[in-house]
Amino acid sequence: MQQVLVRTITSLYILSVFAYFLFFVTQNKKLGTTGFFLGVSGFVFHCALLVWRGVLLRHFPVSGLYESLVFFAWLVLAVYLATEVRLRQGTNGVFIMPLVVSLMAYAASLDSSRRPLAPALQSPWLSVHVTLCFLGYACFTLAFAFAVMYLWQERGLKTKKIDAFFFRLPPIEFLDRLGYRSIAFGFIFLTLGIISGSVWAQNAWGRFWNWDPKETWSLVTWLVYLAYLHGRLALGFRGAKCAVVAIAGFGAMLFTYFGVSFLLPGLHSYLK
Amino acid sequence: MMNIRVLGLNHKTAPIEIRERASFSNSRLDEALRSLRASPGVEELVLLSTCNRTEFYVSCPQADRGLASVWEFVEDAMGMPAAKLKQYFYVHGNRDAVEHLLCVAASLDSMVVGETQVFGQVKDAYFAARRNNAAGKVMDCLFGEAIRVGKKVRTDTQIGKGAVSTSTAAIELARKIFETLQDKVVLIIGAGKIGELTVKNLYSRGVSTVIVANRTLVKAQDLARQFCGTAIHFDGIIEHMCRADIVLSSTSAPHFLVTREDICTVMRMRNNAPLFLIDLGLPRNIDPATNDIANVYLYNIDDLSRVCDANMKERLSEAKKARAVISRAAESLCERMNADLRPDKVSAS
Repeated sequence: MQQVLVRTITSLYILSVFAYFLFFVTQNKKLGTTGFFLGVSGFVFHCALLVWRGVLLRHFPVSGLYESLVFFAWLVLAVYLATEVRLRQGTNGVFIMPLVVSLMAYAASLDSSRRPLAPALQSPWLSVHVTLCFLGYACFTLAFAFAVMYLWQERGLKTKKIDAFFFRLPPIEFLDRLGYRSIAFGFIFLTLGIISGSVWAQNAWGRFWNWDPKETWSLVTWLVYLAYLHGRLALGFRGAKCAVVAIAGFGAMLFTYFGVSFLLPGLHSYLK
Repeated sequence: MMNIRVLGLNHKTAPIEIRERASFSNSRLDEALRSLRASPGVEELVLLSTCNRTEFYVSCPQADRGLASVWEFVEDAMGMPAAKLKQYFYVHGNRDAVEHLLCVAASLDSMVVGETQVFGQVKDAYFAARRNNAAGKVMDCLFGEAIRVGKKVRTDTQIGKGAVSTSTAAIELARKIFETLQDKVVLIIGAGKIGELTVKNLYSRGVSTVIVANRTLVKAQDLARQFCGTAIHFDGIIEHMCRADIVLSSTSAPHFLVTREDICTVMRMRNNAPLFLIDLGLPRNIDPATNDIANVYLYNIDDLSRVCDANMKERLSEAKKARAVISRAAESLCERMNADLRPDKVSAS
């Protein structure tokens, strides 16, 4: 049953990628809408999958790499769809949907057998802490897509090379503004995520901060985005500089998520 | 059997001296339609006359007689013998004629491929023919399809996308830099013609404020009045650039009016908000090195015309797609018309 669900979801997302890609090439609005609704229908099944697994396991399904990937992909899509409902823009889907697909494909390649929750994780804080952190990650992922598009479009404008992408990508002012917004929201979520984590750490381990690799790296990520916001608000940075920092932040975030789990053993090694 | 012929000339086949003789203004058009309709062998007719083409679409039971009548009329109207005129005209029959009209309506045959005007002109020509009782069943069918396909090509392909003139290219770039033009301020330096045209275009897209700077203030005031803008002294330009999002310069100053340092200062003052500089001056008015400054986008005349060229290329590649659509439509229309106009059916009506 679970396999069927995962396959259905992934196929819908792949179809959505195709639709978005064709939309990008042909600029036919109908294809963009198709991509959006394919994404939405996949999302519905995705919700069902999370609920189903949660009910079976009787806990918030975010333990282990498999579950965290499925949950992360779900959040990225949720954040994307939420922005898309307001923006009705479509182009962003061309960049976000492949990311979601690769997260799901990665998850599908892993062992999805259910294991009992580690005793340390049996706490109501789990859902709060993980949801907040991953919400932050999802916003940063969105910001990353905006930053990539920004740099692409800006390079075209600067070098005056008008290529096929030029007509298809949105204006840079828009990309810059949305990148900023995504990071502002992501920063709030990550901050709350770190705070909730440290409160939980105080309860579970007796200390707010343990300099565990995950903690250190999430601090690094947090600092990169703090630099972004500081540069933007206090120093008047805009555009390309901000986009580069957004991409660096995304790199730090990926390392916090994956790198730390595999390379640096510590208190947070639940993904293995 | 349907029997449609088109006889015409356009900007590719005839020089302007010939085209102007063959052009029919609105008042002459009605007269021409009526007299041609009455001539022997012409059953139905539409006359399309624009600044780049004059075409007679005729439906005639016997093609030779119909065409001969049209030739006679053309000789008369242009005051030249047919023998001299033949080199400028083309004649297409049936399937080719249908395809030709569809191409014209879809703006594939235009001087600027993808322009929108010709579509309206085709419609007007058809309505004029109906008004004068020159168009009937055949032309209804033919032009109905031309209008449908013209619309379809415009929505299904990108043929009309991408600016192909300097002033519209500037707008297109502005719209790729700025999310909206509604709240933007434009500063125009020098009251040149292309500059004025570009500002007019920007103004019609809803920019909020226009500031005009010129050596002679009176001229600046004249121009500013057109856009409900303000006129400023020439030495105030740097100061006003802090406010302006789009700066358009078209003076004949022999040296750079705006230097790299100027823009550096301006960018600091405007908190790095994007600045779009359009330099239409020759020699150039703005130091080309300003393009290296972050969030500054400088385009000169050559850059803009390169944009136009790139867009034209894109349009031409879209035209290929459009041709496929048209060829299919022409095929099915010919089949339909041949079936509808079978002799037994026609004789009954």
